[in-house]
Amino acid sequence: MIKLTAIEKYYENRVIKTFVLRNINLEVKEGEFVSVMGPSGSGKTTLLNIIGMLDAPSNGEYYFLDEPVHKMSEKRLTELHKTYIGFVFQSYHLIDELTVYENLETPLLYQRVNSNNRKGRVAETLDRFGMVAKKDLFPNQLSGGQQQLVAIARAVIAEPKLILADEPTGNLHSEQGKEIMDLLKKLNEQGTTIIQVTHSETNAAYGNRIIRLKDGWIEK
Amino acid sequence: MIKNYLKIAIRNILRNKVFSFINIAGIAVAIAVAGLIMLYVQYEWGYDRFYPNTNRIYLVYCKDPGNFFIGSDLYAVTPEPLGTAMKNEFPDIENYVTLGRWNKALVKVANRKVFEENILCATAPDLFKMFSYNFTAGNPETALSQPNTVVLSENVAHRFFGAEEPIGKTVEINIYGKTQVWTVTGVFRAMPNNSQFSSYGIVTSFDTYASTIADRKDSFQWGNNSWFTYLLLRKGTNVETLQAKFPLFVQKNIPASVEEGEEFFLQQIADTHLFSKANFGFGVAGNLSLVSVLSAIAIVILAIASINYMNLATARGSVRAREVGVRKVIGAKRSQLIAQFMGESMMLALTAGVIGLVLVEILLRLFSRLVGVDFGSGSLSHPSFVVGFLVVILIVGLLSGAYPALVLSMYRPAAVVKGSAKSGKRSSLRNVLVTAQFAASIALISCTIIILSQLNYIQTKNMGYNRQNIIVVPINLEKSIFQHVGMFEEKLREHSFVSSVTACSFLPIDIESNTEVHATGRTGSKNAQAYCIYGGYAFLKTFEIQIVEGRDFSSLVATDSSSGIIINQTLQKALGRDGTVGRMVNINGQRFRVVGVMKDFNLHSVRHKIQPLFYAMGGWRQYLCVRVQPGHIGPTISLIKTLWNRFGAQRPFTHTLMNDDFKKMYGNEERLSQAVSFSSGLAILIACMGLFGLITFSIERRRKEIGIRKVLGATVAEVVSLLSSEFLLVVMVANLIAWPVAFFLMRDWLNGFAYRTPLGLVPFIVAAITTLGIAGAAVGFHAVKAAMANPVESLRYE
Ligand SMILES: Nc1ncnc2c1ncn2[C@@H]1O[C@H](COP(=O)(O)OP(=O)(O)O)[C@@H](O)[C@H]1O
Ligand SMILES: [Mg+2]
Repeated sequence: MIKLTAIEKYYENRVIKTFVLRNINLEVKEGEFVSVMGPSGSGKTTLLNIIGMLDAPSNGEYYFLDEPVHKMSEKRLTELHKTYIGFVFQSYHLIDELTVYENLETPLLYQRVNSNNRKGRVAETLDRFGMVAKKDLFPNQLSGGQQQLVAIARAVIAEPKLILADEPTGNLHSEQGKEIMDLLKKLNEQGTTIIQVTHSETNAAYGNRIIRLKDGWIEK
Repeated sequence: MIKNYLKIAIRNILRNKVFSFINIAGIAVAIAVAGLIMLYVQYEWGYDRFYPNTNRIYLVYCKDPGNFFIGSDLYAVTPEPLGTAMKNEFPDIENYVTLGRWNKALVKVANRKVFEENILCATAPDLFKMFSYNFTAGNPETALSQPNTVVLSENVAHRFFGAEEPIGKTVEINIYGKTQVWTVTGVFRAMPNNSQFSSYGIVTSFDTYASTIADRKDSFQWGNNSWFTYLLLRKGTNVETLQAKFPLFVQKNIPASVEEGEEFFLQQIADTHLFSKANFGFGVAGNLSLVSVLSAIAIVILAIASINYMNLATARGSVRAREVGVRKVIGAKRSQLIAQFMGESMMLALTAGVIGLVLVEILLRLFSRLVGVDFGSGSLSHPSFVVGFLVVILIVGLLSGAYPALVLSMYRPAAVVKGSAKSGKRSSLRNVLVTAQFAASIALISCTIIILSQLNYIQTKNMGYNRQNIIVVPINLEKSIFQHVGMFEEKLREHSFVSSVTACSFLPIDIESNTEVHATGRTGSKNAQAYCIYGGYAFLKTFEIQIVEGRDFSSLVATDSSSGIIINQTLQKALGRDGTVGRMVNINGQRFRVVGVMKDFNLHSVRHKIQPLFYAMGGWRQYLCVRVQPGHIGPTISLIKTLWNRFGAQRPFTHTLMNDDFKKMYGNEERLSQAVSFSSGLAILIACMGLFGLITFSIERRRKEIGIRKVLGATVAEVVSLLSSEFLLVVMVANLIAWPVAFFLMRDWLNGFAYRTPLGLVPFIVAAITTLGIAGAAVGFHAVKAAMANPVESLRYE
């Protein structure tokens, strides 16, 4: 599903080139659950952003479902990432001004799902995540765990093939964290490919493969 | 503490360059505009208001019932015996002055140059006392007690005699063809520009003047209204009560033989400039509509700039919230915080005021040309201006600072520390204020377009005459030409590029004299009040006015020049049966035959409906009008000038083009349009600067949201429309508010014209498109930039 060859990422500030990722070669098959680990600043988020097409690599090739991402137009990229990829962030990134219901609805709006269909899918997702009672609340009226739940619900509502989760439990108690990890596991069992970044060995164990990053290199 | 506040204020100004620039620039421009307008309003409002006795000085004006002149039967001119009679009759009258004037008199100074000067003739020394003339030489009490004496203003004295001592010098003055030698007996300080006497640098006694024109006895009798009468009332006089006694006074004093039902009224002298009620007033009439429109504009522009400050200050409130919270935690009272924020806005207003003053200085001359007023030197250091300017700054500082100070000082420390202060959120009040700004700008833009289209209508309307390629030469004051006008015309006609020449009493664009046309008594005919114009045989031909019935005057019919008239279509209708070619009418006791009917043309400004008019030959001639072949204006002017000198004229040759005279007639409209278009441009500029600031802030605040939306799959276009829609909605609502306001304002304004352009939808649509376009550009620029940004950047640090 994902194939990265010789991916590099660097930032040029005035004189120095700072490398964040070096010679990354990585393949992820459909249905995998991959955990990415590594110290802070090792390039995990950058890698996830590149896979999620939010950021472009400086060098190298990236094939997504056998399509060359590195040669794609901006429009096609947006198209791909909005149909195939869902994101979950450490700090949730819900829209503060919108209710739970409206937050869930937003990706469907951008995919031009018609109104009836949309209502159905939002209702179904609320039900599935047990949040029907909370649908009219705003993010700041929810606990951190509940907010992350909404964020995951928002990521899966568009039925992505791939979920990218950047430290999804980083801001949560271990109790809440476990709940989230169980949920991701369940989604993976239902067929969604998942790549998560985590600091916790326990959480990493939920996946079926661990990739360790250090100073931008993949540790063998 | 103050130092602490000051430091924070200065740092805030420096740290937020965009906001500070928008605030200071906007307010500086607004203050400059307000300053200039204030200068003008003070000038106009102060016109004739500064004499120590101003509020006791009254002009007597006269109602001549039924004798209408351009829509009014009130006249500022009165009979000569009126002042004396009133003084004798009413103890309430402390003093009076009777005034006459002789404009453009030829004054010859001891074999040197000839000057054209305006001479004021007054019952002295009462004039000097009543209007507090300030004499630098000579004694106002006695200066004019001898016959043939004059006093001069310092300026005129300097122009005549340079540095030499003027007292005792003589000047030769030519009045009605008689040259007399007058002796200078005094010098006074020139009146300010906004005095009706400012252009009268020579004053002589009424008796001297009267003796010069003694052969015109009827000028000094009841029934001849040629003089201005001013009264100085005693303190505490009730004007209403005094006026109520005038009808009895008329009965008692005016001989029955000349009494025509006149009524007299009083108007305070300071009101005669802007609120003049009567025709033929002494001074130039003020432009009240320009004064009020400009005042309104000053207020609107100041408000728009202040709103920018309020909006930006409260929008940025969340940034200041932490400071407020901390200050409160360490013991600041709310009143102290209010004082701090007010201080900041005051400082900003003061800074803007200094820049504004520089702008005023730079723009003063341009502005002075725009409103057509010479403010004189030192107008910016005049106490009334200085105080007014400071008051404007103070008001702006208070106005723009009060609301932010109240809002910002309200934050509760707990909320701020928890980080949940919600000040940066969209606020409905802020939207209301922005809507108001745009509504004002849009209204101004619509008004501009409508005023311009009315001006264009005036320029392009077929007035019924052709005003192009006509040279106008005033000849009435130049005896050598006036008396030989026929020969002068002949000489001009010799040239092939001169199409036609006529002398006439008025230009057809503005005919100022009217009289009664009496039917000759048959049934079905009526009397009519008609304007009259006198001209030569070529009058109609020169102005290309058409004959629709009968014929033009002809030199082959002897009676044409003595007893023929040509009437216009409106007079034809008014006269009923007598308005037919061949019929006789009675004018001033003389019988005239209607020879032809000319097509109606606009004989006044398009403010007024076309009035009854007749054209006759002979009579008084004011102008010589020369129609030339296109492209020959220059050579013809030199030709006329040569002839002018060859005929031995004493006065310098002057000329105008009829087309320019026509344009000048609409000077007030022209000024209004310039003022309104200029200010609407400024208003929209300042409003957009504010909008630009607000959107900058709003986007800053929504960076994270934009990032999330992009991650969720929003396209650039979707993000742009999300960011712009709120502001564009505001502009749209502003349009809906502005349209009716502009519509009713302009309908009233257009109703002041008898002939006007229709008030359609176009100006409003253009205003809407303009504002949406400009606001869209201001918002769009930012929105696109924000939408294109990489979401990774905005989401990284949370
Ligand atoms: N826009 C940027 N400019 C310069 N350096 C950056 C930029 N974005 C990220 N970096 C650097 O790249 C490195 C990797 O960052 P990141 O991928 O966020 O690490 P991780 O998620 O593993 O903590 C860090 O050292 C960070 O400072
Ligand atoms: Mg990271």
